[in-house]
Amino acid sequence: MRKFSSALVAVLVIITVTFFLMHSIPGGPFDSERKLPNTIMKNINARYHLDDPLWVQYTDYLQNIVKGDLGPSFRYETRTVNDIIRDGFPVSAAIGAIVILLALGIGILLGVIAALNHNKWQDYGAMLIATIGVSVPSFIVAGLAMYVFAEKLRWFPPALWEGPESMVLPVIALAGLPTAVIARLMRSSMLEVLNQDYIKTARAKGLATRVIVYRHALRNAILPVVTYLGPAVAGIVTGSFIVENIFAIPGLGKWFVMSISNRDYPVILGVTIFYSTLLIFMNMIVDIAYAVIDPRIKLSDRKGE
Amino acid sequence: MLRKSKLLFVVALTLVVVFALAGCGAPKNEGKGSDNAGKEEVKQKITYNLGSEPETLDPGKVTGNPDMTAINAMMEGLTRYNMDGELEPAMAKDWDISPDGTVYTFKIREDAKWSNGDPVTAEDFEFAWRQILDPEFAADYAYELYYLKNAAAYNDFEDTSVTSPDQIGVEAVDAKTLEVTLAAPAPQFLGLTAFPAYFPVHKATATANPDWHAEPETYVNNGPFKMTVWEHDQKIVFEKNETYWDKDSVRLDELVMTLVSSESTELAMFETGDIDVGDNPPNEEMDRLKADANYGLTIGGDLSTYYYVFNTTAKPFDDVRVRKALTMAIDREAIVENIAKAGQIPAFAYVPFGLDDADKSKDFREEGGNDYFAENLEKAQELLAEAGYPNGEGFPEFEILNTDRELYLNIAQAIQEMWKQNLGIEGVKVISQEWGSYLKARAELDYLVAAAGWGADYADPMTFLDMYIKDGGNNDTGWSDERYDQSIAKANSTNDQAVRMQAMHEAEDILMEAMPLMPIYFYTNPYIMKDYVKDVVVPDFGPNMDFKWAYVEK
Repeated sequence: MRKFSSALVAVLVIITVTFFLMHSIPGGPFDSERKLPNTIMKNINARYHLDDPLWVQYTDYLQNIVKGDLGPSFRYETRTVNDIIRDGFPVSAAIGAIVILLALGIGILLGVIAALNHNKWQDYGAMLIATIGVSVPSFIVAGLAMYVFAEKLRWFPPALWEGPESMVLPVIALAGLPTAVIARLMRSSMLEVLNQDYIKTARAKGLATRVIVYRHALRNAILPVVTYLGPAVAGIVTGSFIVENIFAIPGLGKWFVMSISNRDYPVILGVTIFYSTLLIFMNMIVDIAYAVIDPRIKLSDRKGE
Repeated sequence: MLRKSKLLFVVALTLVVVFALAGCGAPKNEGKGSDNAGKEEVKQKITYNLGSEPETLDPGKVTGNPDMTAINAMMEGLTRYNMDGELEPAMAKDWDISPDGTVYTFKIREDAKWSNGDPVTAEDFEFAWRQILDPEFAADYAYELYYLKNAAAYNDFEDTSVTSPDQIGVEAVDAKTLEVTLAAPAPQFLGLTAFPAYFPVHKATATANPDWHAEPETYVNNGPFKMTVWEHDQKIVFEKNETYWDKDSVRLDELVMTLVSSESTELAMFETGDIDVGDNPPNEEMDRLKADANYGLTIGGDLSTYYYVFNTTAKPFDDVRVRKALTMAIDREAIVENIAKAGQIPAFAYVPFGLDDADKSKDFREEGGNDYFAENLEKAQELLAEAGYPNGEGFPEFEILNTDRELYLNIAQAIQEMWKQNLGIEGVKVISQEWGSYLKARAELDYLVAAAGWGADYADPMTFLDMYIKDGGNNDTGWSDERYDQSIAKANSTNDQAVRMQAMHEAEDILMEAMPLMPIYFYTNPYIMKDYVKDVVVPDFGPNMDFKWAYVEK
């Protein structure tokens, strides 16, 4: 329970900071190169309560949140922030889930291969792949994937969200980075574990490498990957602005960027709250996963049992 | 044992998922008629990339071009621009204008129907116009209706002189007669009735459900097409509207507007045949597209000007000689050829080509000439020396304020180099600011030189010229001149086009003499269109495209 209440406080702090920060950046949601006459600005500000004192707007906002209402988008007047998240998140999450599964599978495999063949060609090869994965930005991969698979080979549609085949190119564009990070994490922690006494003992007992790796080493070596996964999952399932923009995917990613340039205050707050809640939740999952993987690590909060 | 198999299972599952997905990637053949089909079998369907999600499909709340383009496919005002860009009767079958030019009496056509079968009435217009002017409705484009008597006062909730909508100069005399009274004569008014802010809405629907325009199921419209699907951030699908009075002119069965915002993705979709029409070809691909005559690139006209504004309240830009020197010392042709690349026209005046003069067969720009100044280095250096900066010596450092669009940053860097080479002005920096900050800096005169663009709201030079009156909302230069304001006032108080145009030419003379802004080029509208797409109208302002008459011929 203590964990839950501290999470609540964290979200409240995030809301407050975001609220006052976004109101401090110059410009408002209804600015454009065609400046509107003062009369019309007054009408709009009155309609959206932007003419109330800031702290009144703030307390009003908090009252609505308690009711679960994130308000209307200022830019897209017939859509509510709840709609935007409800429509966008499943799309980004579907792509994100595949990306994470892929990254885990390939990343762990590469990391383990590299560690078991320390300083041999397999190691260098795996790390070269990982380096490429980290250093080539997703929009380059996206552009390349679109050119090769959509324009030249015509295997997949270049854009829009029209079924499973629409996922392939975004997944390719997004999977590189987490795969590479996991491979590197796995390699270094595996190397560390393989050098520990109990592994040496196991080797001395004549256990097969496979058994050693699967039964003893992997379990301990995977902890850093689990730690990384918490925030990474939150980031990946909420979508990527660049990749969703390139492939015209109606996910959540674009709203993190667009809402800020539009000064669409309710959307900025809504996606921020959503993301930070998810992040806190994921970190809790990491704590639980730790305890499952390594029973010596205790969950600090066991009052609920 | 169990754990080991778990990991294997995860890896295996992942690989299965990937291969399963890869297997789905069969090429799609949807929407592409097979090549050997007869002419009769060609599917009358066009897919056009609108480029971004409309912010609203409520004609009263319209703001940007995407909104306007989608609404224009579904709705129709009293008038409509035809294929030749001329204004034609639409919902109105004809109209009378009083001799003093302030009272317009429109007769609504008998066969004008809404998509639910109801007749379109004068009340629908009266309701829509009053609603857009309602301060609580808070419409951006309410000011487009300020031509109407008492409209501006009614729209201002702090002005208590007009509080009843009945006092606004729009009245349904009977079901098919709409009487409009203007505050002052305005020959450009008729053209405005072709724009969304002036469209009617189905009164009963809008009264019962203020969100009627949010879903295809509840959308009631009176134009060529009817919306069947609106997938946010993806596409809007329209089909022919069978209740449209002029449905015989509509040849498309289906019109799809995709909402893809990336320019390079749009081009890829054009190349794979996923779209037939797009109007955002990327600047960096221009050379390639222009080189291939069969590609489908067309450079259309655009009623917009690209220019730099000077902050005339700050040294050294308070000196007209400095402003003129800078204006004369850049090579517009080089900028258009090497950077902008879409056939833009070097601008030596402010109002673009494409607007009628008093004699409708003549162009306002051609009459006034595109030659208010010349690119003349000697003269520019002379002026700069007179202003106290011989060879640019002692010229203070300043920044050119830009948004973060790459094309405009490239232009700014070229201009920075030209001023250095041609005038010896060394201390020029190019800065870019995020959109909101840039707008604020311009509005508060918190800049010295800034990039700016302006496009027509309606087909009349006034849409460009009334910006620069004293305290004009969009006059971000700090410049004003009483003679200028008088010329604009004169043009705004007469119904005689000869007098109006003369007054506007005079105003432009004064503006170009004082040069609070430096014209760079008149925009063009480059678009890509497959050769089998016919009769799409591409207006030079307002909606991006009008598909009313469009068809496919393969």
